[in-house]
Amino acid sequence: MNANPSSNAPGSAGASSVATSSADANAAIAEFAGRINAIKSQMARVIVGQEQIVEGVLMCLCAGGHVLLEGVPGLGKTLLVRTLAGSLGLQFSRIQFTPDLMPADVTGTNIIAETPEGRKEFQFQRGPVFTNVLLADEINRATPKTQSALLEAMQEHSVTVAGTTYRLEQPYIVLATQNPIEMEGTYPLPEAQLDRFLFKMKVYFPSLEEMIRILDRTTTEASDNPERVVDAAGVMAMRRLVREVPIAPHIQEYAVRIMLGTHPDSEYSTEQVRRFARYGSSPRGAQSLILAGKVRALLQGRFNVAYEDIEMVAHPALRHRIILNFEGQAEGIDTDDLVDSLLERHEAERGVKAVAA
Amino acid sequence: MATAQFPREAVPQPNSSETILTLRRSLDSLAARRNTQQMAICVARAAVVGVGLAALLMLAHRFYLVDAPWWSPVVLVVAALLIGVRNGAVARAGAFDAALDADRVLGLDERLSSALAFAQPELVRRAQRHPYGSDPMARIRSVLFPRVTYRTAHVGAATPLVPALVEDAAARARGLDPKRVYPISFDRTAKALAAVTVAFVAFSLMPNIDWMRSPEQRALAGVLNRQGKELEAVAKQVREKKEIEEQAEAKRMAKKLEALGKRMQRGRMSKKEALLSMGQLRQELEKAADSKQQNSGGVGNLEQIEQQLQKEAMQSMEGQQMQRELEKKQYEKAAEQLDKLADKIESGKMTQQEKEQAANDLEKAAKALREAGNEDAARTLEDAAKNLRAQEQQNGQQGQQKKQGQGQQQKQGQNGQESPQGGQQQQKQQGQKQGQQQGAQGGQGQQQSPKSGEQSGSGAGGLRNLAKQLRSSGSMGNSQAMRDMMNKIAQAERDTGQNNGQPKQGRVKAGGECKGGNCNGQMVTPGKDLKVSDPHGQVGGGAGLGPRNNAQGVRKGGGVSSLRTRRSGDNRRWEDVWSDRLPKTQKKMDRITGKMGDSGEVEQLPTRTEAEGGPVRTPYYDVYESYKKDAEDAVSKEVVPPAYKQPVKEYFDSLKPGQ
Repeated sequence: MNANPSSNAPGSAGASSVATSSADANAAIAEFAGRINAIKSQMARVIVGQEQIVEGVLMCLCAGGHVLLEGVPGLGKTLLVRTLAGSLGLQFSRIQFTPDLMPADVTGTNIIAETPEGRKEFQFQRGPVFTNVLLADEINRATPKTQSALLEAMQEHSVTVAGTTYRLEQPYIVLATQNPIEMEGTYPLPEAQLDRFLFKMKVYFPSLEEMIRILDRTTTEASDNPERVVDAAGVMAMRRLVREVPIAPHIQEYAVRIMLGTHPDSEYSTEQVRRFARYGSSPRGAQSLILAGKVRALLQGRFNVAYEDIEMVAHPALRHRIILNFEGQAEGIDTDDLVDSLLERHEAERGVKAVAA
Repeated sequence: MATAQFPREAVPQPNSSETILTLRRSLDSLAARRNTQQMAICVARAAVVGVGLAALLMLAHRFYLVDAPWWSPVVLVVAALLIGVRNGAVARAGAFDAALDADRVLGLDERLSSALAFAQPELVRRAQRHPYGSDPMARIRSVLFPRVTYRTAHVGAATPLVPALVEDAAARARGLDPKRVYPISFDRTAKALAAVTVAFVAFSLMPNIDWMRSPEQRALAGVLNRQGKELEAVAKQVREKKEIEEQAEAKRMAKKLEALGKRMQRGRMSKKEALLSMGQLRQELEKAADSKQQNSGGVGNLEQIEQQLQKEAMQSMEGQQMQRELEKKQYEKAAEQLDKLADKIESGKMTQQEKEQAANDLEKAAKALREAGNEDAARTLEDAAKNLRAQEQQNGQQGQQKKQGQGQQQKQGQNGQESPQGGQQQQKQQGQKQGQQQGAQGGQGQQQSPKSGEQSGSGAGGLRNLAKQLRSSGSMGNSQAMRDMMNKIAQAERDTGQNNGQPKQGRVKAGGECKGGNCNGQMVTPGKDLKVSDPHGQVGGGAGLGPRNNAQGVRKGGGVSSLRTRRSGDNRRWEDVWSDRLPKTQKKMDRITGKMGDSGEVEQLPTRTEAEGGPVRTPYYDVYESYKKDAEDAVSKEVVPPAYKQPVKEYFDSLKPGQ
């Protein structure tokens, strides 16, 4: 692990030689874990608690996905995203979604501008989406039309305005926050939009100790700003390393079974899923499971994805991809329960009950 | 220092074969241990089931609920073990299964299985139980005879980190201890096996408990035990006889009898079964005895013949000598004497007195044969005796005629002197007449002579047959043995058939009490079941003879239920009894003709119970003895005219079960 964050400045990451031996691989993994830990420690200087949220956000960052954070206002969601951006030394934008926000406010628009020669022409005024880290605050307060303005940016990492496509800088990550949909004045995210998020994470209220620490930090003069520990190139290198983690066929099959099990008409589903779910996950759900599993394997210092990795990421990766039916909604069923039932059913696939069956 | 910028285009270095071999060896040893353990578990589970069932069987056996042969628990356990071995062998684990187990038990987070999947993807194979369905039978089949299919997986996409993964896994597998992955544990299966084994041994050693048997069944078991002991004793006695050793038939029969005796002693036979077995064996014995008699000439019942011959005072020397030899049981010498007598008869060189004596002896022998039931042979001997007497008379007549002829010639001689012509004519006429008469007589004599010789020859033949029979009797100790066995079986049949072998004096009273008698058999409630009017108590373990209170009684028909005969193969007679009290049924009801009692009512047999399925039947052999006793009593009281005594006896003899 590199103890000096400044040495991870852009350019230094790609200077090392190709490492394919076991020792090199171990070193690469160690460095990966070191960078993650460095980011975590920087975030911990600002954010009190919320370790799981921080880890989930970092997993999405490494996996190249986006995060949807759900929680009531005031839980530090925005601060978390700002801190992350600060730790990474990446460009940061924030969009406060409101009901009257228009798509052009997000993507940008062509405006008439005068050139030095005195001619007037359309110039593309980039919207806040052109950044590395985008905070889409209270995304469900905007109309679905505006929400959908992010679709292309999230999936294709590009923005098309007036027939012209603009590429976004890499790394690119959207961190959206939303209030619980039961709250007044919210517009539920469309399924297609939800599906673009790698994780949906629930931000819970801080505990007593955490709350006291939060108060200490926010009600005094003491303030701490995060230092940049990883640059964009470092993030991209981490993303490449994640994709080179091998996943064995049986683990992959396990992930696919769980994903397929979210569909009520699947042979891998459970009684609960059949009863309460209307739609299951898209293939992006399986991709999310495996990519996030790979990140977790690296965080655990392993070269391979384990069953446990898939299980640990199953809830944030699948919970927003399962659409409950009327009965499920009426019963107040949480999609996490359905994921739990799937994990329980497919436990045997892991070989837990395989001995002398 | 390496960095996290891991180039995608880098070609992964393949692992050395040594690394892969190390990984493979470790996993193979793990798999071998797992297979052994799995076999042990499957066998143990099957043994739990098998020994458990055997224990239950033994328990039921001890309580007389079933009659299990000694080998049935062994068969159960062996069958269960075979199924266990089969199930243990059906899903043998491979290296991949072992790797998964090691990952799970040792917390290796699928390092070994993932490495194996990339290093040797052809080994990625997982056993899956074949689905049988959800119905109960399918579930039982899936437990008893599981079918396994093997599922392979696609080859995973290799990445630059795969060699490092394999190397790491090989390093971890190198020091792997199979005992840590598959420890030997005294799990629930072993405990259950120990428990059922202890139960089985306990049930095997515990004595038989007859709490659940009715008093009738206990009584019957006692009788069968007693009779079985006696039968076994007789069989042993027969088998221990030296002269029997060469007689395979008698030996075989004795063995059968001994086996039957042992079975009866166990007290697990029903009355019907015991009687059927005894009847069958008795029939076999009779058949064997009959064939023996036929082989030895078919003279008749040898025992009776011997007795009769000894009773009669023989007159001829040979006859007297034969009697003496018979007394000494010297059958060979007695037969020689009979042969001598036959020779004499055939040669015809006998004095008048000898012929007379021989004829008398032949008649006595004929009488003996007739008593023994061989009418033909008796008639032959009688004819021979008549011929001998006829010859004797003929010889006497010829002597007289000779004397008369001489006297007439003398008289004619005197007349001729007085009138020579007339005398010559008269002499001529008389001579012609006499010549014709003599010629006729001579012709008769010539005709009679061969007949007489033939008859004499037949008589001699009969004697020779008798001699042959006697001769074979010397080597036929087995006939006696067979008779002993038959007699014993017959006695056992009688005892078993009669009221479970108890004295038949019980009187049934309301409430099941029995005053002053031996109340065997089931209790009968008067008014509800039967009014007891049977002077002999209950019949054959049944409810006893029924009341004479039904004017309709048992009507015509009488007989044999052909349906039951066809179904069970039991060709003895079965009777419908008490059928008029039964609910209406579409089934054909066979009835027997009853006999008129003192009150003018028809006596009929009671039922044991009223079945739902139709008429209730009492086995014929259950009532036979009672009926026979009735008949004998009636005969002895002279209710039956003396002239009919013999027909009555013959009638019941013909009806005797097993005939």
